[in-house]
Amino acid sequence: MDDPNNGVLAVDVVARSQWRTVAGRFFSHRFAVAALLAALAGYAFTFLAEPLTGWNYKELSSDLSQGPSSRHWFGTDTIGHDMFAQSMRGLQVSIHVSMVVATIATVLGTVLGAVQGWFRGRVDAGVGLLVDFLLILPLLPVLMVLATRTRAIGGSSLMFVAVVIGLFLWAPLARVVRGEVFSIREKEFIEAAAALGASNTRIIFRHLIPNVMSSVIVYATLTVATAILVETALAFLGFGIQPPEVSLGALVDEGRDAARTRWWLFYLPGAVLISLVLCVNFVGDGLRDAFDPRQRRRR
Amino acid sequence: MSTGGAVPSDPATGSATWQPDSTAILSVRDLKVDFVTDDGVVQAVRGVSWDVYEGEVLAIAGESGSGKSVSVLAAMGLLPPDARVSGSISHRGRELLGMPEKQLERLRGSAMSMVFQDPMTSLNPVMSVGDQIAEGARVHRKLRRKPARERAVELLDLVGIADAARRVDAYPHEFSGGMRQRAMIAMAIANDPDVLIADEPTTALDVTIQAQILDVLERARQAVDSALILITHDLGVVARTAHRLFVMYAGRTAETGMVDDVFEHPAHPYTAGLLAAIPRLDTPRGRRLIPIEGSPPSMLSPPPGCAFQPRCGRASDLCPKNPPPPLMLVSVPSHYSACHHPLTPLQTPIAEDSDV
Repeated sequence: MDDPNNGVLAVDVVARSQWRTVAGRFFSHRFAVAALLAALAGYAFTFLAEPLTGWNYKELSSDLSQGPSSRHWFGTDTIGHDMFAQSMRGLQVSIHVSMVVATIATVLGTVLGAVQGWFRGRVDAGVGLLVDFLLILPLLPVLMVLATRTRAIGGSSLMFVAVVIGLFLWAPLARVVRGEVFSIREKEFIEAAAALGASNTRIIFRHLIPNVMSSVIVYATLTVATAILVETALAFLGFGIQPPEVSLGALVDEGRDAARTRWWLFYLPGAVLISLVLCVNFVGDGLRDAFDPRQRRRR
Repeated sequence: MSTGGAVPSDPATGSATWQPDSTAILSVRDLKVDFVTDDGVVQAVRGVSWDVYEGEVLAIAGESGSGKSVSVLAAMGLLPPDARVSGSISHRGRELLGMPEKQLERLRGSAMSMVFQDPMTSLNPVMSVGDQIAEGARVHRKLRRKPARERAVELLDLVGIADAARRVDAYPHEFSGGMRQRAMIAMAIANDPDVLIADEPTTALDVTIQAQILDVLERARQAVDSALILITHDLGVVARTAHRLFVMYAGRTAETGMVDDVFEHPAHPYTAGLLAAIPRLDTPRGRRLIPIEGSPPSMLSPPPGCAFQPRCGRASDLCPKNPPPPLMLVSVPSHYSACHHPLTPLQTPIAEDSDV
């Protein structure tokens, strides 16, 4: 007998994609959701800061070196910048830079890693050489040299710094994706797709990459955190983004000498920076748990 | 059915569908496939020739490692790049070996398509079943999203998935093994192929579902009016489904002919051994099945003569030295056997270039 339901009663079937399952698990992870909301709220707040406090980050007030007050929430520096406005602008810049970095690094790393894993042979060896080269390069010194050498052609602009960092951060992800593709390419559904006439491009973008997305997404969040820290380190050393533009790293750098006497110049932007990186990492943790329930702790 | 009645009755419809004079869709001639490994060259296929005719069900049977899957994967151009393939494979007169990859891609999934063994791993877990079925139509017919989806629903309905309009959005993990294999069949016929290849389509399934899937496969084959190459090691499946049988042993042809002829009068001792090993309802209780003693030869260094000779009770001095050529069986057309000492008397050696 040909029973179309294989003996199972036709119950109400609701299609549940991997994404919905993962989203469900992520949203049950309270810490990660709180971190995500905090990061989003913080970002939104950077746009509200000026109308709320009345200070622009470029503006110089006549209040010099004042501590936090209701007039200047984070105090002012020696030349009269409102530190709250500066910190909020710095936060905004750091988020923008890290997003650009993470996008570039994630797209490059995923596509190149998948191409390596799918074609193997010479392609793998060629890209692999580049990956190894990038992995052994000491990132900060190289970025510092690049920043000084390229100052004439916009080396201190926000976008330029972001793109350069992005071009250096894709290598570890490419490695991870390559490794996973090596195992996925042997699965029968890839052979089945090839047997149905799917081209290389189609197999890579429709079959291989969607199957490694869980690692890619987790890795992308971690890249956001790394990018914030790399940009900060660069700014802290006096490279990359230059005044009048500010970033959290540059603020911490400027406040460094005053840490003992005028603590607010150092600790308050620093606290903003740490909160941001913590939030991003919590979101990353939540995503990792959502994609891989085995790693979840019991509660 | 013992004499030359070459037109079999179709097991599903009871009508004759296959004519011996219909045109060959896929022709394989003297196909050899070698794999270079660290241990040496594995000679997976050592010169086989066969044809599949329009509307025919050809079963290729043999045990693991006999080269049955490798020969059809060669036809699809799906062997790994380190495989060395020689001979000729042609689809409606067009040579496939050495064809540029882009042209092969156009043929795969439209003119020829394939159902794989394990439905649990043959579907992409992160793509909805409907999208995967529609993929073929989108690749080959350049259909847009909506018509491709409608086609997917239509195909799911054809392969007997209830409530297809809703299940089209389901993901593979929501389907049972049998449903997944139905979906695989739907994928394979999405572009009206003229050859459908099924590589052990029921092996990974529950015995109770196997018969259903064979029925679905036959229904799908008739819906698109294609030929079917059924790869199996299960002669029960062959008896139920196929018109013609091709038995492989150690990368070579052992015997080929119409299913009824081969089952009634097996000429090759290997085929006879396989048939003796099938459990039957009409044998007396308590009678043990008769296994074939020994194991197949290593394909790294196959024996120079007949590969079955070490396991064969009828072997003579001739067998270890000379591989037997396929011979024609007396009074029955299209029944060939590669044996020096056949169980049924053979006629004359066939000419080198004639169809097998």
